Amino acid sequence: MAIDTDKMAQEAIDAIAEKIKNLNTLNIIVAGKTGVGKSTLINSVFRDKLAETGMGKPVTDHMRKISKKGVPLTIYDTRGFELGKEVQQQVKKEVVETISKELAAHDINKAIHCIWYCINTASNRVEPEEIEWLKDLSKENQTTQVPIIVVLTQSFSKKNANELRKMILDENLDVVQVVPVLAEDYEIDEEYVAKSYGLDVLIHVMGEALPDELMDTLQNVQIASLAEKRKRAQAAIATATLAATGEGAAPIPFSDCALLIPTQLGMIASITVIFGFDVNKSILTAFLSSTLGAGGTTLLGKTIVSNLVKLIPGVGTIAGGAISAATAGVLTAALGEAYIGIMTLVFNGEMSINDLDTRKGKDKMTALFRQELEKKR
Amino acid sequence: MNTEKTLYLVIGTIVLTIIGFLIIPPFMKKYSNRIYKSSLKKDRIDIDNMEPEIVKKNIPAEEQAHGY
Repeated sequence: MAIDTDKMAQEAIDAIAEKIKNLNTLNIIVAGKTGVGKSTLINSVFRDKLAETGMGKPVTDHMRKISKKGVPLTIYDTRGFELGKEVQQQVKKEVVETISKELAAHDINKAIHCIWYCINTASNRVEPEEIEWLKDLSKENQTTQVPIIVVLTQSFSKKNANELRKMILDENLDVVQVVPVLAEDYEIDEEYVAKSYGLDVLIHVMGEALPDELMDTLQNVQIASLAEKRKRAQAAIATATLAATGEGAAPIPFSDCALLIPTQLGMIASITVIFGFDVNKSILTAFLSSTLGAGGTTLLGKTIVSNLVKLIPGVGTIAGGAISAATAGVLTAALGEAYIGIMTLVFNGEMSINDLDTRKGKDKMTALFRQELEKKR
Repeated sequence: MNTEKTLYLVIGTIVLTIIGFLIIPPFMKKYSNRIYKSSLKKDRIDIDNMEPEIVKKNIPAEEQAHGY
């Protein structure tokens, strides 16, 4: 049975474009003194180096708005926090007004979804004014309930980070979590380096704090945690496999073929959007021909047979449905896991996106798919 | 009998097509978000014991191209 991988790849590309178009925009306020490492943090967590010098346009006296076409993320970066109590009060007022104004628009793409308050661990202290600022903000935030995460930046010392964290937690502020991070590797001396850490935990905490509608966006824009991308992608595989199993069990012969393909292509589109890579049609054609075209034909043959069995009334319908359901489930799960495997290799830098269209890439995709099929049998 | 069977097949196909294109995609999106969120709740992160890994500089650090 021949599979039109070119047509399927085009449908997948269309599905990806549709999903990207429908991604909600994630809006975050990043507050803290100049020099705490806000820009480094933003560039280490999110793709496309949004916090470059000169980017962003002023929206208030002390806030600039950073966004980039094609990236469903807006950062509101506060400035001047270190200039004394009066400026801090102005910044707080601007933050509260921005939250209220965007909430009034009743548009999830405009609402502020999270506030990061950044404190430099290396300073080894929290100014009383900062605690007061956070307490005042929490009070004002009682109606709007925007999650506040305190990020302890430049946490190359575990001892200092823990002390600072305890100090802040003891204040019983209304914050979601206090997360120590080291956004970039830190040179301790001529011999030793402290590796960056904590960014994956920050993404995990954000995932818990943000509404469901922003999960895909969060994974699309973040580059800090492969584990979180994989988890979200595996959730997409789980639901697609469940749907495919149900479609396979449908008692109408050959109906599953019409349903399975959109389900599987929808799953591939979801995984592509989660990983955030720019996947083109030739890469998807290569993937589909290396998987369904290579290892999948035996299973597809089994699908044809089980659908013929469904034509036998009574027991045949049930037996045919059971075989079809199991086959559809295995095929969908294996396809999804192989695709995650490929995306993981690209994320880790072991292959480039363009490599996927080469002989090496296709062989890798076939091997991954066969491996996954074996695991699931 | 044949007419009945044909009608059953036609109606069934229409119903399944509607399910496939209208019901399954939003179902997949909604439930995959829920599955992901409940997996986050199950993971317990020990923030108190978070610390950087200290490595020697002359061991080449892993390149993280990320593909972006």
